[in-house]
Amino acid sequence: MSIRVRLYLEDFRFSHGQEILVHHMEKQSMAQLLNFLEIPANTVWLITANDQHVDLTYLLQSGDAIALYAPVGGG
Amino acid sequence: MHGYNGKILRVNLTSKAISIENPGEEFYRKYFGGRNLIAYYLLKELEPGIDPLGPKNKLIFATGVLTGGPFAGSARHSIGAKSPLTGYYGDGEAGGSWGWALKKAGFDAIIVEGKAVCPVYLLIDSGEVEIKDAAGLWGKTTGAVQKKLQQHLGTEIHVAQIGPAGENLVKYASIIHDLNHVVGRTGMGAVMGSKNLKAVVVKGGKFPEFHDAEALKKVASYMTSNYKKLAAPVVEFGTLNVLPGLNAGGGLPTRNFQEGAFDGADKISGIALHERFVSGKDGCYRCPIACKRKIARNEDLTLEGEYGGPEYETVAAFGSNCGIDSLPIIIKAHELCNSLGLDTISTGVTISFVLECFERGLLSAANCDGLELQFGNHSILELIPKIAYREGFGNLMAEGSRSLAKHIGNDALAFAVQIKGQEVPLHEPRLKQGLGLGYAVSPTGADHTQNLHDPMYEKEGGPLNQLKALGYYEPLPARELSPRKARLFIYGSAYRYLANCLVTCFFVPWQFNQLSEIVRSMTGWNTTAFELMKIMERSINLTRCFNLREGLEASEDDICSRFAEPFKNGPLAGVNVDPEKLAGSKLAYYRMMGWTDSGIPTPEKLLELGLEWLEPVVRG
Repeated sequence: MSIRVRLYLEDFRFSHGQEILVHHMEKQSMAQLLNFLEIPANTVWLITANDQHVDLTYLLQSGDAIALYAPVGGG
Repeated sequence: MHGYNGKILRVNLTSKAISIENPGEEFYRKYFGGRNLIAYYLLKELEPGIDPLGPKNKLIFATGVLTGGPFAGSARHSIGAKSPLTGYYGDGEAGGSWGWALKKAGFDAIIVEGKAVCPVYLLIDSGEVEIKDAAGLWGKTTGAVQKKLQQHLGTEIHVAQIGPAGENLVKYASIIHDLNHVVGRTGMGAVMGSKNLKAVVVKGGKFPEFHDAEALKKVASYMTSNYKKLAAPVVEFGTLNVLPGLNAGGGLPTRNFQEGAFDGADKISGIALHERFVSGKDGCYRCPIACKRKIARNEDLTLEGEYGGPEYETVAAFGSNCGIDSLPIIIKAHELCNSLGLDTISTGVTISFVLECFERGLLSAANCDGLELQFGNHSILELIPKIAYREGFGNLMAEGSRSLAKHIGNDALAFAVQIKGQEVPLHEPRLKQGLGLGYAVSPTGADHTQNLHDPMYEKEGGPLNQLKALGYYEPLPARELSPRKARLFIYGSAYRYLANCLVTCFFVPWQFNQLSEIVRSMTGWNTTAFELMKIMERSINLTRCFNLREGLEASEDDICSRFAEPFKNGPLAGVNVDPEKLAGSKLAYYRMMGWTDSGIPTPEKLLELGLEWLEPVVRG
């Protein structure tokens, strides 16, 4: 089973809201996922797993729906 | 004199006198333009206590020294007056091309005085000024007026105009520029309407020369080359890019700020808007970011297209905050507001207040023209023309939510989400606690633009790096509210307060040293970031003094009771803004600003800023 990761980041490599599938990362931490995707942790403001707030220590599970959000400004 | 004209146009609509003033370089250097120019003239020329909608108020259109320059973010101008919505200092900024066109037509600012006997518009063409009859334009929507003026004067014109809402003195009427760029806040459209001034049309002329065009080109090319990397989400989805993050974080205003997350958020996101309705990008003069969107015409949905697409504030105001998950309804609400000349934030939040009053049994169809209103009901569209034309219940809504709450009575005021009379923008202080402090001390009532958006400063990175150039280094949690947060607010909002004086766009992420270089290249002044901070600080003290002279007291520097209520559920369940922490942060802010504990600038602070002429105001 794969893990779905939706990206709302200020990272021009990814389209805003783009979803990617990640394989074979079950039981690894969120920090390891960011490292794998080459996303600096300081650019991520909020992380959710299955719509619940989690942090970098969260252990990924098969079928997870992860979302990464950049800091939100306003205008 | 480079980068600006050195000419301020004064038009008295009562006497029809037209004159030009030349304040000199010392004035421009000290105030730069925009908000500072407006506040300076209002302080010098308005009598305290005047009726904002009377002929003694003055409406000032002001560019800044950077307006119209050949770089991203330059295409903005300000419009200000004493606000009919708050009773205090009022202004707003808009992008597009109008500010650039005014400067090109020969003037840095226009001071409009008095009141015309019958509807008029101003035509400014290459330094020549005429007061023209607007009888054929009065009563018409902005789209109709734009077409008529273009047919008469050509398509090269740029038009700042009011719609029927401004004519009818709706307290939150806006001023619409070329149909899609809006000075929305603080009711400047009502002030324009009170003067029987329908439009200001600018065309022709020659832009002032720059001091060092080559140096300007060099610094400007940085943003042209890097904007996709520096502002990726804004480039892709405009301001609407923030909606998913706010919803996930529990800070998407929902059902009149009663909740912070909306079930229908995906249906009103930037992705959904782009998939179904966007036909292209749109933006301001010289800006590659192009944060605005064009909407395809769709007769089935009666979308007109010419008013552009809704931005985040509008989508949240009519969407989540009214419980609506239908983009066609939101787009239509946006179009109605731009065609009738209404601020989408105040209109949406006044409507959401009415919906909550219905929910709580404080209002019913019997006192709302037979309308059955509830969150999520599309009949809110019927309220917008009623407000603009002051029809029936709309006449009460046209006065703003604070006034309406007083009319309804009981405890309705507790549900009116407004600060100093201005409806709160769609940013939640329970998520962004420093923003709450910013709302409380804002000179214009609740305002998100001259404010701190706390999540940007929770971690090391781009936004915090920008502040390091000013001497601020410390990340802070978004939900902290403390004297430390007051310090972050001062530094974090500096770029935005400054942008209102330059007048530039804060979406374009210039560093302070780059902005200084742009000022140097435009004007020839030896400007540094330190000088820019003094310009910013002057704007805060000028507007503070204006408001103090109008009777502002420290107790009014507060936020509405809604935000003291903890969220009942969602990601921020149990979180509120602690009134004691807010009061402590406010006191720290006053002291850091060099003000007394009552929020009054000290004579020494004013002297330090070269504003000693305001001493009589602070000495009472």
